[in-house]
Amino acid sequence: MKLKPQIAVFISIGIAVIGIALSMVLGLWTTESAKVPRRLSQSQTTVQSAAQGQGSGENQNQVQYDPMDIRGSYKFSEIGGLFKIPVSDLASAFNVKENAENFAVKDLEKIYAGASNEIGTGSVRLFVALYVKVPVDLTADTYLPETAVQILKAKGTLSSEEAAYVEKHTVKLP
Amino acid sequence: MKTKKSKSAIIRIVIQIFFFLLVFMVSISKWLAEKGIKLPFLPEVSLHAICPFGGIETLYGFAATGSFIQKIHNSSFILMIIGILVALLFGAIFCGYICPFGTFQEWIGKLGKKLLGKRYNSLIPKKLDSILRYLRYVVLALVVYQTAITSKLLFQNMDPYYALFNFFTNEVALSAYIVLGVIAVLSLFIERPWCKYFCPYGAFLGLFNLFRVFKIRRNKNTCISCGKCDRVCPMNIEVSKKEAVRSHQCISCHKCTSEVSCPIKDTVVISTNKLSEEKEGVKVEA
Repeated sequence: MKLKPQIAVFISIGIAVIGIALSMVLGLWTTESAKVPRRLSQSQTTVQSAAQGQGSGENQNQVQYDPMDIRGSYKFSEIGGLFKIPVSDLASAFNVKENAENFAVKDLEKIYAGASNEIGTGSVRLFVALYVKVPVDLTADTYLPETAVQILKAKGTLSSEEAAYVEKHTVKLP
Repeated sequence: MKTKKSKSAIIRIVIQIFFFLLVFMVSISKWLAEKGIKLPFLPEVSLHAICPFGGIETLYGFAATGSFIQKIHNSSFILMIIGILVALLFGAIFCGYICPFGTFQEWIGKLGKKLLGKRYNSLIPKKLDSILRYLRYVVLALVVYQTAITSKLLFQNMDPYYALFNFFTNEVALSAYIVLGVIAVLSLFIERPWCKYFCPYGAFLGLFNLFRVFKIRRNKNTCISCGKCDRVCPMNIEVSKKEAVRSHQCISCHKCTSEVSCPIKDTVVISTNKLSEEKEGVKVEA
């Protein structure tokens, strides 16, 4: 069977158009993330509940998301909703003065472009993890602005190890 | 039969321009949407969402965790599957007709052809060239491995395609701009240098040339060995020495076919069957 070049390319484009249309009909065609982080494992959730002093209460039945899966495109309002953190706390922690609800995490790099250490998506992940008491990797070097550290300390839920870590990883603001 | 040849070539140019502008407009639309300006009829999607290579990059992560890596969405995965289906039939036709970065290199190459004449696209010694052609598989392996262990789209920082269509945003790494600049300059001397030596998606699609259903085949009985098919091939494949083009480098641009360049009718064609005993009706194209 022979084909002319134009027929071959039209068949190719046709397959693409039909494939995309079919996936749209089936609801599979999405071009952006649902902005739902992955869930924590059972063991991590158990540690979290223990740290919060809760047993088999209501909170254990709630979906617990992994702060380490927060992405740069997430807005503060979305993080607030997912992790039950007041947007005002996020805004204060990261010195976002205006329109905090719609502030995207990736834009932190602009605010802290001149900081001595990187403040970015990793910082938000760390802040949220410590805020909601999810076990965090304290071997990596992730930095927080001093305003975020103040909020965490004021909550009074940091372990001594976590407190020492954030103390060592504080970026002083000018 | 001159008009037929022109028709195939014109259709290819129109398709290339269409996809180049489409990708460019999609990128602008997304950029403007982030600034609160909405363009009619254009989706607000990132380039990652419409790039089939994203599906390949996230394959390991998807198999391991059931989720995509950062910035990759369902659409990339679906486009990857479509790309594979098309490649099974026609080989790397995506590279030859649709990929806007291939088109970009081809357009710069037109200037190179004017400047260098016959020396264009033949400057690298054959032996070295034949080794360098496998470099893109090293790039493919590195990209897949790095993405698997970091779950991040690290290739974006080196990707000239991303840099070209996002040059007006602040999301492009300096390294990607440098790669883009180097490729643009190289395109003045070599046809499609990124496709030949570095493109990981081209490397992946090129594998399908080995067993694609519709192959580019040469009828050795009617071929007059004029070598025109060799000269027009942007990837320097010696079509005149093969009965079927199985080279992993073929981008299915169809420039070698009797519909476009070969002066003998039905001699270089896209076909499922071997062209062997066709001797009758040999016509030299005007």
